[in-house]
Amino acid sequence: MSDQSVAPGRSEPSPQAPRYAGVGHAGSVIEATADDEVVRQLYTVHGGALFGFVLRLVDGDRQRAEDVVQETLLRAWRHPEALAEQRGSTRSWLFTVARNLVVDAVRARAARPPEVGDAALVAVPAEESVELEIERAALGWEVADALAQLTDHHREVLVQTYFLGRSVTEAAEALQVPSGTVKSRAYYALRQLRLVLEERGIAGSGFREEVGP
Amino acid sequence: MSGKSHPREALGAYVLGALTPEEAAQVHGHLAGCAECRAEHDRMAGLPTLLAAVPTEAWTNRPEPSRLLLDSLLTKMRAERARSRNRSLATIWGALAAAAAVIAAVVAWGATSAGDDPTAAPAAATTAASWQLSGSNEQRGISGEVTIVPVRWGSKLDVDLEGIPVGSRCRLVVTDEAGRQWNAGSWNVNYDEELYWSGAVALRSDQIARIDVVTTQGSRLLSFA
Repeated sequence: MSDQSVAPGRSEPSPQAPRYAGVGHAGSVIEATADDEVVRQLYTVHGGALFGFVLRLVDGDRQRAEDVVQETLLRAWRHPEALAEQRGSTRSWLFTVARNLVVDAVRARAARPPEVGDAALVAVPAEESVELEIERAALGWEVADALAQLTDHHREVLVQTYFLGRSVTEAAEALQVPSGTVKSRAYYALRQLRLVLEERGIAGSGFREEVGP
Repeated sequence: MSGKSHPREALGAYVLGALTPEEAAQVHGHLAGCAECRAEHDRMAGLPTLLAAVPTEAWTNRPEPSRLLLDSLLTKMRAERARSRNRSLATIWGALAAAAAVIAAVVAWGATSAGDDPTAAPAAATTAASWQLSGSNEQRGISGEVTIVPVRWGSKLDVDLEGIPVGSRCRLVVTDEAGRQWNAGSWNVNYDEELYWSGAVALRSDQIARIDVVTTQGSRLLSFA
Protein backbone atom coordinates (compact mmCIF):
# COMPACT_ATOMS: atom_id res chain seq x y z
CA MET A 1 0.00 0.00 0.00
CA SER A 2 1.42 3.37 -0.90
CA ASP A 3 1.92 5.75 1.93
CA GLN A 4 1.07 9.11 0.48
CA SER A 5 -0.77 11.50 2.77
CA VAL A 6 -4.47 11.66 2.15
CA ALA A 7 -6.16 14.99 2.70
CA PRO A 8 -8.84 14.78 5.37
CA GLY A 9 -12.18 14.15 3.81
CA ARG A 10 -14.67 11.44 3.24
CA SER A 11 -13.98 8.87 0.57
CA GLU A 12 -15.84 5.86 -0.76
CA PRO A 13 -15.07 2.55 0.91
CA SER A 14 -12.68 0.32 -1.02
CA PRO A 15 -14.49 -1.76 -3.63
CA GLN A 16 -12.23 -4.80 -3.24
CA ALA A 17 -13.52 -7.90 -1.48
CA PRO A 18 -12.38 -8.44 2.11
CA ARG A 19 -8.96 -10.07 2.27
CA TYR A 20 -9.70 -11.82 5.51
CA ALA A 21 -12.48 -14.25 6.24
CA GLY A 22 -14.35 -15.13 9.36
CA VAL A 23 -13.66 -12.39 11.86
CA GLY A 24 -15.34 -13.75 14.96
CA HIS A 25 -14.74 -17.32 13.86
CA ALA A 26 -11.48 -17.39 15.70
CA GLY A 27 -10.60 -20.93 14.76
CA SER A 28 -10.60 -20.45 11.01
CA VAL A 29 -8.25 -17.52 10.75
CA ILE A 30 -4.63 -17.33 11.83
CA GLU A 31 -4.70 -14.12 13.77
CA ALA A 32 -1.37 -12.66 14.77
CA THR A 33 -1.92 -10.47 17.78
CA ALA A 34 0.28 -7.80 19.22
CA ASP A 35 0.99 -9.81 22.36
CA ASP A 36 2.15 -12.80 20.31
CA GLU A 37 4.70 -10.51 18.77
CA VAL A 38 5.90 -9.16 22.09
CA VAL A 39 6.41 -12.65 23.48
CA ARG A 40 8.10 -13.73 20.28
CA GLN A 41 10.55 -10.88 20.63
CA LEU A 42 11.15 -11.62 24.30
CA TYR A 43 11.92 -15.18 23.34
CA THR A 44 14.24 -14.19 20.49
CA VAL A 45 16.22 -11.72 22.56
CA HIS A 46 16.27 -13.49 25.92
CA GLY A 47 15.12 -17.08 25.41
CA GLY A 48 18.53 -18.62 24.85
CA ALA A 49 20.16 -16.89 27.80
CA LEU A 50 17.16 -17.63 30.01
CA PHE A 51 17.33 -21.30 29.10
CA GLY A 52 21.07 -21.45 29.78
CA PHE A 53 20.65 -19.71 33.11
CA VAL A 54 17.82 -21.98 34.23
CA LEU A 55 19.54 -25.13 33.00
CA ARG A 56 22.29 -24.53 35.51
CA LEU A 57 19.77 -23.94 38.30
CA VAL A 58 18.04 -27.24 37.60
CA ASP A 59 21.26 -29.24 37.38
CA GLY A 60 21.01 -29.83 33.65
CA ASP A 61 17.45 -31.16 33.53
CA ARG A 62 16.44 -29.93 30.06
CA GLN A 63 12.75 -30.69 30.38
CA ARG A 64 12.45 -28.82 33.64
CA ALA A 65 14.45 -25.94 32.23
CA GLU A 66 12.12 -25.66 29.24
CA ASP A 67 9.06 -25.75 31.52
CA VAL A 68 10.50 -22.96 33.65
CA VAL A 69 11.38 -20.86 30.60
CA GLN A 70 7.82 -21.25 29.31
CA GLU A 71 6.29 -20.40 32.64
CA THR A 72 8.56 -17.37 32.98
CA LEU A 73 7.57 -15.99 29.59
CA LEU A 74 3.91 -16.69 30.34
CA ARG A 75 4.27 -14.62 33.49
CA ALA A 76 5.84 -11.82 31.49
CA TRP A 77 2.88 -11.97 29.14
CA ARG A 78 0.36 -12.03 31.99
CA HIS A 79 2.01 -9.11 33.75
CA PRO A 80 3.30 -6.73 31.09
CA GLU A 81 3.00 -3.83 33.51
CA ALA A 82 5.50 -5.52 35.84
CA LEU A 83 7.89 -5.99 32.96
CA ALA A 84 7.54 -2.41 31.80
CA GLU A 85 7.91 -0.89 35.25
CA GLN A 86 10.79 -2.83 36.73
CA ARG A 87 13.98 -0.97 37.40
CA GLY A 88 16.70 -3.33 36.28
CA SER A 89 17.16 -4.89 32.87
CA THR A 90 14.46 -7.01 31.26
CA ARG A 91 16.83 -9.94 31.41
CA SER A 92 17.39 -9.54 35.16
CA TRP A 93 13.65 -9.49 35.70
CA LEU A 94 13.17 -12.65 33.66
CA PHE A 95 16.05 -14.33 35.48
CA THR A 96 14.52 -13.36 38.83
CA VAL A 97 11.11 -14.76 37.94
CA ALA A 98 12.72 -17.97 36.65
CA ARG A 99 14.83 -18.37 39.75
CA ASN A 100 11.80 -17.86 41.98
CA LEU A 101 9.94 -20.54 40.07
CA VAL A 102 12.81 -22.97 40.54
CA VAL A 103 13.22 -22.17 44.23
CA ASP A 104 9.47 -22.43 44.87
CA ALA A 105 9.42 -25.85 43.24
CA VAL A 106 12.36 -27.02 45.30
CA ARG A 107 10.72 -25.76 48.48
CA ALA A 108 7.48 -27.48 47.60
CA ARG A 109 9.29 -30.75 47.13
CA ALA A 110 11.19 -30.28 50.38
CA ALA A 111 7.88 -29.94 52.25
CA ARG A 112 7.07 -33.51 51.38
CA PRO A 113 8.50 -36.26 53.58
CA PRO A 114 12.11 -36.70 52.53
CA GLU A 115 12.75 -39.63 50.22
CA VAL A 116 15.31 -42.15 51.25
CA GLY A 117 18.77 -40.81 50.55
CA ASP A 118 17.62 -37.32 49.70
CA ALA A 119 18.54 -35.07 52.63
CA ALA A 120 19.35 -31.90 50.70
CA LEU A 121 18.14 -28.74 52.35
CA VAL A 122 17.41 -25.61 50.45
CA ALA A 123 19.66 -22.87 51.72
CA VAL A 124 17.94 -19.53 51.30
CA PRO A 125 20.52 -16.84 50.67
CA ALA A 126 19.97 -13.25 51.79
CA GLU A 127 17.93 -11.15 49.39
CA GLU A 128 20.70 -8.76 48.44
CA SER A 129 23.16 -11.41 47.46
CA VAL A 130 20.50 -13.11 45.36
CA GLU A 131 19.87 -9.87 43.51
CA LEU A 132 23.58 -9.47 42.89
CA GLU A 133 23.90 -13.05 41.71
CA ILE A 134 21.09 -12.54 39.26
CA GLU A 135 22.54 -9.25 38.03
CA ARG A 136 25.83 -10.96 37.43
CA ALA A 137 24.19 -13.88 35.65
CA ALA A 138 22.16 -11.52 33.49
CA LEU A 139 25.30 -9.54 32.65
CA GLY A 140 27.23 -12.71 31.90
CA TRP A 141 24.62 -13.89 29.45
CA GLU A 142 24.46 -10.46 27.83
CA VAL A 143 28.20 -10.61 27.23
CA ALA A 144 27.76 -14.17 25.94
CA ASP A 145 25.17 -12.93 23.45
CA ALA A 146 27.56 -10.17 22.41
CA LEU A 147 30.28 -12.79 21.85
CA ALA A 148 27.88 -14.73 19.67
CA GLN A 149 27.66 -11.69 17.41
CA LEU A 150 31.37 -11.69 16.70
CA THR A 151 32.83 -13.46 13.69
CA ASP A 152 34.09 -16.99 14.29
CA HIS A 153 37.71 -15.84 13.93
CA HIS A 154 37.28 -13.12 16.51
CA ARG A 155 35.38 -15.27 18.95
CA GLU A 156 37.72 -18.24 18.77
CA VAL A 157 40.77 -16.12 19.52
CA LEU A 158 39.01 -14.77 22.63
CA VAL A 159 38.10 -18.30 23.66
CA GLN A 160 41.72 -19.37 23.27
CA THR A 161 43.38 -16.45 25.00
CA TYR A 162 40.79 -15.55 27.61
CA PHE A 163 38.60 -18.51 28.46
CA LEU A 164 41.29 -21.12 27.90
CA GLY A 165 44.00 -18.80 29.19
CA ARG A 166 46.47 -19.65 26.44
CA SER A 167 49.40 -17.52 25.41
CA VAL A 168 49.63 -16.05 21.92
CA THR A 169 52.05 -18.80 20.92
CA GLU A 170 49.83 -21.56 22.28
CA ALA A 171 46.75 -20.06 20.66
CA ALA A 172 48.59 -19.74 17.35
CA GLU A 173 49.48 -23.44 17.58
CA ALA A 174 45.90 -24.43 18.42
CA LEU A 175 44.38 -22.29 15.66
CA GLN A 176 47.10 -23.04 13.12
CA VAL A 177 47.76 -19.38 12.34
CA PRO A 178 50.83 -17.14 12.84
CA SER A 179 51.32 -15.38 16.19
CA GLY A 180 50.92 -12.00 14.51
CA THR A 181 47.48 -13.06 13.32
CA VAL A 182 46.47 -14.06 16.84
CA LYS A 183 47.55 -10.69 18.16
CA SER A 184 45.78 -8.66 15.54
CA ARG A 185 42.62 -10.76 15.77
CA ALA A 186 42.61 -10.36 19.53
CA TYR A 187 42.84 -6.61 19.11
CA TYR A 188 40.01 -6.39 16.60
CA ALA A 189 37.94 -8.90 18.53
CA LEU A 190 38.04 -6.71 21.63
CA ARG A 191 37.24 -3.60 19.64
CA GLN A 192 34.28 -5.33 18.06
CA LEU A 193 33.14 -6.77 21.37
CA ARG A 194 33.22 -3.32 22.90
CA LEU A 195 31.12 -1.94 20.04
CA VAL A 196 28.53 -4.68 20.37
CA LEU A 197 28.35 -4.25 24.14
CA GLU A 198 27.87 -0.51 23.76
CA GLU A 199 25.00 -1.12 21.36
CA ARG A 200 23.45 -3.36 23.96
CA GLY A 201 23.83 -0.67 26.59
CA ILE A 202 26.56 -2.29 28.63
CA ALA A 203 29.30 0.08 29.74
CA GLY A 204 32.83 -1.01 28.90
CA SER A 205 34.21 -0.23 32.29
CA GLY A 206 33.05 -3.48 33.85
CA PHE A 207 30.19 -1.94 35.78
CA ARG A 208 26.73 -1.10 34.60
CA GLU A 209 26.67 2.60 35.11
CA GLU A 210 23.01 2.96 34.49
CA VAL A 211 20.57 0.34 35.60
CA GLY A 212 17.88 0.97 33.05
CA PRO A 213 15.73 -1.13 30.75
CA MET B 1 60.33 6.83 22.54
CA SER B 2 60.31 8.69 19.28
CA GLY B 3 60.67 6.61 16.16
CA LYS B 4 59.30 3.45 17.78
CA SER B 5 56.06 2.38 16.20
CA HIS B 6 52.97 2.03 18.31
CA PRO B 7 52.38 -1.60 19.29
CA ARG B 8 48.70 -0.96 18.72
CA GLU B 9 47.72 -4.44 17.66
CA ALA B 10 49.46 -6.01 20.64
CA LEU B 11 47.11 -4.18 22.97
CA GLY B 12 44.42 -6.83 22.69
CA ALA B 13 46.72 -9.67 23.67
CA TYR B 14 48.20 -7.43 26.37
CA VAL B 15 44.83 -6.74 27.96
CA LEU B 16 43.98 -10.44 27.76
CA GLY B 17 47.24 -11.39 29.45
CA ALA B 18 48.42 -13.51 26.54
CA LEU B 19 51.78 -11.85 25.84
CA THR B 20 55.10 -13.18 27.11
CA PRO B 21 56.52 -11.29 30.10
CA GLU B 22 59.07 -9.60 27.83
CA GLU B 23 56.45 -8.50 25.29
CA ALA B 24 54.16 -7.31 28.08
CA ALA B 25 56.97 -5.26 29.61
CA GLN B 26 57.61 -3.60 26.25
CA VAL B 27 53.97 -2.65 25.86
CA HIS B 28 53.81 -1.47 29.44
CA GLY B 29 56.82 0.73 28.85
CA HIS B 30 55.34 2.18 25.70
CA LEU B 31 52.02 2.94 27.37
CA ALA B 32 53.81 4.93 30.06
CA GLY B 33 54.94 7.40 27.43
CA CYS B 34 52.12 7.36 24.87
CA ALA B 35 48.79 8.98 25.64
CA GLU B 36 47.13 7.74 22.44
CA CYS B 37 47.91 4.11 23.07
CA ARG B 38 47.03 4.52 26.71
CA ALA B 39 43.60 5.81 25.68
CA GLU B 40 43.13 2.85 23.36
CA HIS B 41 44.26 0.53 26.14
CA ASP B 42 41.81 2.08 28.59
CA ARG B 43 38.95 1.48 26.18
CA MET B 44 39.71 -2.26 26.27
CA ALA B 45 40.91 -2.68 29.82
CA GLY B 46 37.45 -3.29 31.29
CA LEU B 47 36.53 -6.08 28.92
CA PRO B 48 38.22 -9.03 30.68
CA THR B 49 36.12 -8.25 33.74
CA LEU B 50 33.00 -8.53 31.62
CA LEU B 51 34.25 -11.72 30.02
CA ALA B 52 34.78 -13.12 33.52
CA ALA B 53 31.04 -12.97 34.08
CA VAL B 54 30.30 -15.24 31.13
CA PRO B 55 29.22 -18.68 32.35
CA THR B 56 31.33 -21.54 31.08
CA GLU B 57 28.51 -23.27 29.29
CA ALA B 58 27.90 -20.13 27.23
CA TRP B 59 31.20 -20.37 25.41
CA THR B 60 31.64 -24.14 25.29
CA ASN B 61 28.57 -25.98 24.02
CA ARG B 62 25.95 -23.30 24.32
CA PRO B 63 22.71 -24.99 25.36
CA GLU B 64 19.71 -24.29 23.17
CA PRO B 65 16.09 -25.02 24.00
CA SER B 66 14.06 -27.15 21.61
CA ARG B 67 12.45 -25.43 18.65
CA LEU B 68 9.04 -26.42 19.93
CA LEU B 69 9.28 -24.27 23.02
CA LEU B 70 8.07 -21.09 21.37
CA ASP B 71 5.22 -22.81 19.52
CA SER B 72 4.09 -24.52 22.69
CA LEU B 73 4.24 -21.22 24.54
CA LEU B 74 2.16 -19.38 21.96
CA THR B 75 -0.41 -22.17 22.01
CA LYS B 76 -0.73 -21.87 25.78
CA MET B 77 -1.13 -18.13 25.49
CA ARG B 78 -3.90 -18.50 22.93
CA ALA B 79 -5.72 -21.00 25.09
CA GLU B 80 -5.46 -18.73 28.09
CA ARG B 81 -6.53 -15.71 26.12
CA ALA B 82 -9.58 -17.56 24.82
CA ARG B 83 -10.51 -18.57 28.37
CA SER B 84 -10.32 -15.16 29.99
CA ARG B 85 -12.91 -13.05 28.21
CA ASN B 86 -12.87 -10.28 30.81
CA ARG B 87 -9.56 -8.93 29.66
CA SER B 88 -9.80 -5.53 28.14
CA LEU B 89 -7.44 -5.74 25.23
CA ALA B 90 -7.03 -2.00 24.99
CA THR B 91 -5.80 -1.80 28.59
CA ILE B 92 -3.36 -4.68 28.14
CA TRP B 93 -2.07 -3.15 24.96
CA GLY B 94 -1.08 0.08 26.73
CA ALA B 95 1.21 -1.85 29.05
CA LEU B 96 2.50 -4.11 26.28
CA ALA B 97 3.36 -1.06 24.21
CA ALA B 98 5.67 0.05 26.98
CA ALA B 99 7.19 -3.42 27.21
CA ALA B 100 7.57 -3.56 23.45
CA ALA B 101 9.39 -0.23 23.52
CA VAL B 102 11.84 -1.77 25.94
CA ILE B 103 12.29 -4.84 23.77
CA ALA B 104 12.53 -2.88 20.56
CA ALA B 105 15.26 -0.76 22.08
CA VAL B 106 17.23 -3.91 22.80
CA VAL B 107 16.62 -5.44 19.38
CA ALA B 108 17.57 -2.09 17.86
CA TRP B 109 15.68 -2.23 14.62
CA GLY B 110 16.76 1.21 13.61
CA ALA B 111 20.01 2.93 14.42
CA THR B 112 19.74 3.33 18.15
CA SER B 113 22.53 5.50 19.45
CA ALA B 114 23.86 4.96 22.95
CA GLY B 115 22.22 8.24 23.93
CA ASP B 116 18.67 7.08 23.22
CA ASP B 117 16.54 6.70 26.28
CA PRO B 118 14.80 3.33 26.07
CA THR B 119 12.27 4.44 28.64
CA ALA B 120 10.95 7.18 26.34
CA ALA B 121 7.18 7.05 25.85
CA PRO B 122 6.15 4.84 22.94
CA ALA B 123 4.45 7.79 21.30
CA ALA B 124 7.80 9.40 20.46
CA ALA B 125 7.76 9.86 16.71
CA THR B 126 10.57 8.67 14.49
CA THR B 127 11.68 10.59 11.45
CA ALA B 128 9.00 8.90 9.27
CA ALA B 129 5.92 11.05 8.79
CA SER B 130 2.43 10.20 9.98
CA TRP B 131 -0.18 9.60 7.34
CA GLN B 132 -3.91 9.45 7.23
CA LEU B 133 -6.62 7.30 5.74
CA SER B 134 -10.33 7.94 5.57
CA GLY B 135 -13.30 5.68 5.16
CA SER B 136 -17.04 5.78 5.20
CA ASN B 137 -19.93 3.40 5.24
CA GLU B 138 -22.78 5.34 3.65
CA GLN B 139 -25.29 2.60 4.31
CA ARG B 140 -24.78 2.75 8.04
CA GLY B 141 -23.93 6.41 8.32
CA ILE B 142 -20.49 5.73 9.72
CA SER B 143 -17.39 7.65 8.70
CA GLY B 144 -13.98 8.45 10.03
CA GLU B 145 -10.26 8.83 9.69
CA VAL B 146 -7.26 7.04 11.04
CA THR B 147 -3.86 8.64 11.49
CA ILE B 148 -0.98 6.18 11.41
CA VAL B 149 1.89 7.41 13.55
CA PRO B 150 5.19 5.53 13.24
CA VAL B 151 6.76 4.85 16.61
CA ARG B 152 9.88 2.96 17.52
CA TRP B 153 8.18 -0.36 18.07
CA GLY B 154 5.53 -0.21 15.35
CA SER B 155 2.65 2.12 14.64
CA LYS B 156 0.17 4.01 16.73
CA LEU B 157 -3.30 4.31 15.20
CA ASP B 158 -5.39 7.34 16.14
CA VAL B 159 -8.97 6.94 15.00
CA ASP B 160 -11.60 9.63 14.75
CA LEU B 161 -15.04 8.18 14.09
CA GLU B 162 -18.65 9.14 14.00
CA GLY B 163 -21.93 7.34 13.50
CA ILE B 164 -21.16 4.13 15.37
CA PRO B 165 -24.23 3.05 17.37
CA VAL B 166 -24.07 3.40 21.15
CA GLY B 167 -23.59 0.06 22.85
CA SER B 168 -21.36 -1.32 20.10
CA ARG B 169 -18.15 -3.01 21.07
CA CYS B 170 -15.61 -2.31 18.35
CA ARG B 171 -12.26 -3.71 17.39
CA LEU B 172 -9.57 -2.34 15.12
CA VAL B 173 -8.14 -4.99 12.81
CA VAL B 174 -5.01 -4.36 10.79
CA THR B 175 -4.17 -6.53 7.80
CA ASP B 176 -0.54 -6.65 6.76
CA GLU B 177 0.91 -7.16 3.30
CA ALA B 178 1.05 -10.92 3.83
CA GLY B 179 -2.66 -11.02 4.58
CA ARG B 180 -2.26 -11.70 8.29
CA GLN B 181 -4.57 -9.90 10.65
CA TRP B 182 -3.43 -8.03 13.70
CA ASN B 183 -5.61 -7.02 16.62
CA ALA B 184 -4.94 -3.37 17.34
CA GLY B 185 -7.27 -3.09 20.32
CA SER B 186 -10.92 -2.74 21.13
CA TRP B 187 -13.26 -0.28 22.79
CA ASN B 188 -16.86 0.26 23.79
CA VAL B 189 -18.99 2.97 22.22
CA ASN B 190 -20.79 4.65 25.10
CA TYR B 191 -21.61 8.04 23.64
CA ASP B 192 -23.50 9.20 20.61
CA GLU B 193 -20.81 11.67 19.60
CA GLU B 194 -17.65 11.79 17.55
CA LEU B 195 -15.23 9.40 19.20
CA TYR B 196 -11.47 9.44 19.39
CA TRP B 197 -9.48 6.36 20.26
CA SER B 198 -5.90 5.17 19.95
CA GLY B 199 -4.82 1.68 19.12
CA ALA B 200 -1.46 0.29 18.18
CA VAL B 201 0.13 -2.51 16.23
CA ALA B 202 3.63 -3.97 16.10
CA LEU B 203 3.96 -3.31 12.38
CA ARG B 204 5.87 -0.62 10.54
CA SER B 205 3.55 1.75 8.74
CA ASP B 206 4.69 0.47 5.33
CA GLN B 207 3.65 -3.05 6.32
CA ILE B 208 0.04 -2.00 6.91
CA ALA B 209 -2.17 -2.90 3.98
CA ARG B 210 -5.58 -2.22 5.42
CA ILE B 211 -7.33 -1.18 8.62
CA ASP B 212 -10.90 -2.15 9.49
CA VAL B 213 -13.26 -1.29 12.27
CA VAL B 214 -15.32 -4.35 13.12
CA THR B 215 -17.71 -5.28 15.87
CA THR B 216 -16.74 -8.08 18.20
CA GLN B 217 -19.61 -10.06 16.67
CA GLY B 218 -17.79 -9.96 13.39
CA SER B 219 -19.53 -7.41 11.21
CA ARG B 220 -17.38 -4.89 9.45
CA LEU B 221 -18.36 -1.32 10.16
CA LEU B 222 -15.77 0.61 8.22
CA SER B 223 -12.64 0.15 6.17
CA PHE B 224 -9.79 2.57 5.91
CA ALA B 225 -7.92 2.39 2.65
